[in-house]
Amino acid sequence: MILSIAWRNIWRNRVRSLLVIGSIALGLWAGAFVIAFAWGLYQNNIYDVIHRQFSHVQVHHAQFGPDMDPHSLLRENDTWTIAAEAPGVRSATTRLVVSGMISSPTMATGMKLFGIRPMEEALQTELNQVLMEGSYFPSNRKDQLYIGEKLARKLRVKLNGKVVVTFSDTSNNITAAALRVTGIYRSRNASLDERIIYTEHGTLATLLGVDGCSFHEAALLLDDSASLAPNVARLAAAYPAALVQTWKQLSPETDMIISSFDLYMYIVVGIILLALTFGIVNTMLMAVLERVREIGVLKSVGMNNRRIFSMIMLETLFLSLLGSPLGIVLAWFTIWWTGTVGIDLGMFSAGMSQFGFSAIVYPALEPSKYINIAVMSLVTALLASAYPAWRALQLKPVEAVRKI
Amino acid sequence: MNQANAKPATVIDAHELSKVYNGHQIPVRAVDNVHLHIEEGEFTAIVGPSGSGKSTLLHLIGGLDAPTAGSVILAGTDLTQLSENELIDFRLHNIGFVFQAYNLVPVLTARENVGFVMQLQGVPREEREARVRTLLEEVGLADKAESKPGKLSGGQQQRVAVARALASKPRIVLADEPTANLDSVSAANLLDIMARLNRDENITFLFSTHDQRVIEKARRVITLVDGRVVSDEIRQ
Ligand SMILES: Nc1ncnc2c1ncn2[C@@H]1O[C@H](COP(=O)(O)OP(=O)(O)O)[C@@H](O)[C@H]1O
Ligand SMILES: [Mg+2]
Repeated sequence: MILSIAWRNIWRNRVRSLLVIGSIALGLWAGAFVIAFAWGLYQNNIYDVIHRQFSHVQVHHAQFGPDMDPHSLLRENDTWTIAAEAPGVRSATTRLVVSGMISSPTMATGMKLFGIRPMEEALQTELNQVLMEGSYFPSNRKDQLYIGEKLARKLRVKLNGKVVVTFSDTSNNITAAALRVTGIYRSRNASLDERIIYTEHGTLATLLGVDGCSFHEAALLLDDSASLAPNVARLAAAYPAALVQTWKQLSPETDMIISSFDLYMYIVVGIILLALTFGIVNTMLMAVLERVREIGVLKSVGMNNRRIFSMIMLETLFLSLLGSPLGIVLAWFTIWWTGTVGIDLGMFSAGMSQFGFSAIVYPALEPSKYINIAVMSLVTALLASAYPAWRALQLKPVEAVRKI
Repeated sequence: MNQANAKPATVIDAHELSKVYNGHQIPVRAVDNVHLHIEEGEFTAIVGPSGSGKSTLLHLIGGLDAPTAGSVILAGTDLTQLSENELIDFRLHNIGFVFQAYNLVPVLTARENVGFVMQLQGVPREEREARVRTLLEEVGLADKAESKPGKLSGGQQQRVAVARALASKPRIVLADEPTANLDSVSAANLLDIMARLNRDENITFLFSTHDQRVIEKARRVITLVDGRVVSDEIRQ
C-alpha cells in the first residue's frame, strides 16, 4: 500500500517529477559520456604510445642509458631471430640511435638520429604512413634522410635539400655526414617531430663504424598484451645482461594516466551526483512541505514514523529508478554510436596532436562501469531523500493538522 | 439482556487537564483544568466559541498533543505515559479521527482510503474488503468506492472520513468540527449517519462544533469557554 501511495504521489506533480527524472537521466548520460570520451582519448593515447612509439617491448644494452652511449651495442644473434619470430609477435625490428646536431646552411639544432630498417619499421611504427612530402626511403642510396615537417621548416630545408648531421662515433670521434632529405613526415606527436630523424640502419652503421648486425634498440610489437609476459621472458633469456622494458616502463606517464582513470571517473560522477543531490533534496523537501497537513493526518490515523519515512524514501527511489536507467540507456546508445563512427576532433587536432592524441576518438565504457554509475546514483538518491524524509518525521501531527 | 443494566465501560477519563501555549507575550491557557468522563456509547458534543479550546481538548484526548498538566486515560491506558511511536500505534487501534477538512489521502480512492487504516493494522485482505464495503454502504457511498477525494463533494469526503475513522474499530471517534465546511443539508446528513452508527452499533462519538443545528443532535453537550467547562448537560 505504501508502495502504491508513494508511486501515485510522484505523479501528483507530474512536471516536477519529470524534471527530476530528466535531470537524473541527463546527469548520468552526460557523466557516462564524458568518461567514455576520456577513455576513448586514453585508448588513442595508448595505441599511439604502443603502435607509433615504443612497441610493446624494447631491449637496450644495460649501459645505454638516457645519454645513449654509442658503445652500448647489442648484436642480432640466433636467439634474437627466435625471439622475433616467437608466437604472439606481430613484428620486430632493431635500430641504431645517436644524439647529435643537425645543421642546414642557415641553422643548427639538436636531434636524435635513428638508423632503421625501413621495411620492418613500417610494420612496427607505421612510419611510412606519416609521410607528407617526398618518399619513404625510395632508393638504395646511402644518404637518405626522413625528417619531421617542423624540423624541416626550422632548418629551412626543402625536399632533396642537404643537411649535415654530427655526432660521436664508437671511437669517440666526431663524425659528420651530409644527408639528403628524401622524405618529410608529420606524425601525431608534434614535439617528437622536431627532434627525431631517420636514416637507414646501414648508413648509420657505417658512420658509427659498426657492422649491420649491431643495434642499440630492439622493439617487439605483439598481437595483444596477453603475450607480453612470455615475450619479455624470452627476450630476457636472449639478452641476459640487457635491459628489457615494456611500454609501461618506457612511458610511465601513460601507465599513470590509465591507473588514475578510475579515480578520475569517480570524481566526475561524484560531482554530477552532488549536483543531482541538491536537486533531489530540494524537490523532495518541497513535496514534503506541500503535504504537511496530509502527513499530519496520516500520523493522526496511525501511520508510524517508519512508514512515513519509507513512503518519502520510496518516492525518491522511484524517481531515480526511472531516471537512472533512462540516463544509462541513453549513455549506452550514445557511446555505442559515437564509439562505432568515432568523433573526429579534426578542428582541434592541431592542439591535440601536441599531447600525443589521435584525431578520431572512439568513446567506450566497460559494462562494469555502467553498473558502478548506476549503483552510485541509486545510493545518492537514497542519501538525498533521507533528509526530506527525516523532515517529514519531525512534523508534529497537531501542528500539521492545525494548518488548514 | 442485563447489558442495559450493566454499568457501561469508561472510554475517556481526563483529570485536571490543562494545556498552556507559551505564546508571544502572555501564556494562553487553551485548556484549563478540565475534568472529562466519557462512557461507551455516548454521542457528545463539545461546543463553544472559536478559540475556546475545543480543538486543543480533542487533540489532547486523542494523544496528538501532550498536556501541560493532568492526565488522559483512554480505555484504561494513560496516554501521557506513551512514547511517540506507542502513541501512533495506540491511535491506530483505539481512536478514529475526523478533521474539519483534508482528511483523505488524495491519491487513494474512497475504498482505499477506508481500507488503508485496516491495512496498517494488518487486517487480512478479505476481511478488509468486506468491511470497507459495509462501511461505505453505511455512509451511503457504495457507488463512490472507486472515486478519488478530488471527485467527491465536501459532504461525501466527510462521510468517507467517518467510514475511515470507523474502519479500525476504534473505542471512540473524535471529530473536530466535522461539519464546519459543509452546507446545512450535508451537515445534517453527516450528523444523521453518525447518530445512526451511534444508536445501531454503539459507536462512541465525541465531536466539537459551534453549529446550533448540530448541537441539537447531541445527547450530551459540554460547553467550553476560555478553556474551561462552563456547562455539561445531558439530554434525553
Ligand atoms: N500552537 C499554538 N500556539 C499558541 N496558541 C495556540 C496554539 N494552538 C491554539 N492556540 C490558542 O489556544 C486557544 C484555543 O484554540 P483552539 O483549541 O484551536 O480553539 P477552538 O478549536 O475552540 O477554536 C486559542 O486562543 C488559540 O489561539
Ligand atoms: Mg478548532
